[in-house]
Amino acid sequence: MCKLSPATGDPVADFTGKVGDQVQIDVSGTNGQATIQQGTSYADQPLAAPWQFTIKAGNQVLSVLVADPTVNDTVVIEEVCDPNTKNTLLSYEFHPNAPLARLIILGQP
Amino acid sequence: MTAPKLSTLAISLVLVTAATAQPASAQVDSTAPQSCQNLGNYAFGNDQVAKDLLSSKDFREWPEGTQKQFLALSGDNLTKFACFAGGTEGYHKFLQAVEDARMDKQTGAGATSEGTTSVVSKGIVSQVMALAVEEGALTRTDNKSIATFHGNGLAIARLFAGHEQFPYCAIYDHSCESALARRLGGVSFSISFDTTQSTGALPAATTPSANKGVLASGPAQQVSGWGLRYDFNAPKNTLATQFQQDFSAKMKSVDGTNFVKSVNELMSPLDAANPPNQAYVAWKEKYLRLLARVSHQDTSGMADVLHQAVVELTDLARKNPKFQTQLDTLLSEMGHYFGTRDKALEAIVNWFTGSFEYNDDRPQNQPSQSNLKVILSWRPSSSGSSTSAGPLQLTLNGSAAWYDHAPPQGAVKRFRDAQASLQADRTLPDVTDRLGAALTLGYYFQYMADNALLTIPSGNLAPGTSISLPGAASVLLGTKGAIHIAQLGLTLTVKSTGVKVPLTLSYSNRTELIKANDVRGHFGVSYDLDSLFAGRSTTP
Repeated sequence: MCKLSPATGDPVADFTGKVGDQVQIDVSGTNGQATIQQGTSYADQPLAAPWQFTIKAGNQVLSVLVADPTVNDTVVIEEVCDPNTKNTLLSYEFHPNAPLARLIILGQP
Repeated sequence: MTAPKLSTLAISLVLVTAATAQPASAQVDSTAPQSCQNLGNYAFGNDQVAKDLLSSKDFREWPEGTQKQFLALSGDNLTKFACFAGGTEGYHKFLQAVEDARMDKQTGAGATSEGTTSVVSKGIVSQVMALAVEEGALTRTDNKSIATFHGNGLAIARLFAGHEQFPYCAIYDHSCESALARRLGGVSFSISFDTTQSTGALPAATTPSANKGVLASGPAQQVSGWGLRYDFNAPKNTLATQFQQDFSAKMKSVDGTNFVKSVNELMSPLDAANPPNQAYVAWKEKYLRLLARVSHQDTSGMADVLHQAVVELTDLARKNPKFQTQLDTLLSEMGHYFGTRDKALEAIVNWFTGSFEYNDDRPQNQPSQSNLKVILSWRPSSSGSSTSAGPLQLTLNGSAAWYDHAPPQGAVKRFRDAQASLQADRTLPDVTDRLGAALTLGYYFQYMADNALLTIPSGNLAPGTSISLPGAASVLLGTKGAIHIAQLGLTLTVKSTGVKVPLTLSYSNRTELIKANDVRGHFGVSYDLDSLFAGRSTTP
């Protein structure tokens, strides 16, 4: 089951989730072997593979540092809801000059 | 064996630019700092999330998530904001950090020069111009002070035309510069001047030890050499499976923790404050509203709104008393991350980098001679790269030298010598946060096909004898054969300053003109203007 949903109507937060829920993220590239890099963090806490975090209260930053060998490859940052379900958080064209994607996640009771 | 001595002082002044870069840009904002104008379509706006939409749909028709991400402090906007807020000085700081994280370039003269500090010519050279002043020879007995000027025609033209000299291009972003610029940018030239004070007349060589006196004295050549060089590389296909796997493996060693931390320290007070930063919320709502009123066809209107957006955002961010410190840290950490990434990937991006180099040397008291050199540089894929030490870099040189004019009366063969050298460089773990270190191990081999030829004016005595020399060209007996030189070096780098201090020790079984082994300590101070001038252009 997916834990994050779009923060509709909130100009700052991108997604909302319930405080205490655990979220796992992943990235994929259309042509390139996109990977999450060391430095990725949530609420200022460094994450490590398998890139899981527990939702905290308020607006928190999920910082996803991505590397992709293919410039301008379409990269998707997604929530891994279960082995067969993925929830797209952000789809964009990767460029090595802008490798860091930041998503604001609003943790609610 | 002669006593060890400190004999080489190298002061390298380097002006280097990545002037061949030709980033594509559609509509740029002319009021933004020049260095920021090639970062995307507009001064602000996360192009990455809206590539297709920007030119096909009005902003108000975009999905809400995309609208928010277009103005979010994420992706392109981080680079654009940092560049805009930091201005030219900030961009300079960013590029300085990139250069600090990269490997050495060839800035001085080659191994056979009368003044040099290196047994090999490096596979990377300065991209606009470089001036190196070096003292002391490796293959020769004399110790000249040689000033070598390197120049790249295309890059110098860009410099004088006032174009951006240092647009950053990731090492594997081959679309960052045009194919023509890449090819033309590989052509460079060099000219060396002997700056040693002339002592006038040659001393008489009346004792066996007087060879050195003859060799080290005499009128200096003002132009001691010149050269042409063409650099090329063989890039790998970035879509190949093997490349993709190697890329992922190499990137595991690149730590972006400090980069991400520095971004969040600056940006989180705006977009992740609890309770929310109302000034930032108002800013975002305002520009979401303004962009919704602009047609996608009105690129001028979009540019105006987005320029105003980044101006107001910068003003907003500056209210944080730590803003400037945090911005400086972000620029340095971003540059360090990009530079470290480039260095880690350098081993796999190209099959190899190569150069052809022609040099015409005019050594003191010897006939002028030509030298054709092939330089290959590569990083063994198995050398790896860890967070504490950089990958191994190997540089191989092979060359042949001949006299420009046939020796008189067939005294010696016109073919003078053949040379080969190999050098290994490895970046060591940082000594301190401000001091980096690199280890160098080099070997040089030269085979003298015949005895060396000296040019000594008539009336002087042959070295080590009381025989009066009859004419302009004389053979120095017993100098045919092999020369071996081994060199061990440590280079200390003072980060963010461009200052490098090479400390080397070399051993040679003999020199070209003296058959006696020699141990030398070399000390240098190199001031690398590459990082100093990074981000500067001739236009305001």
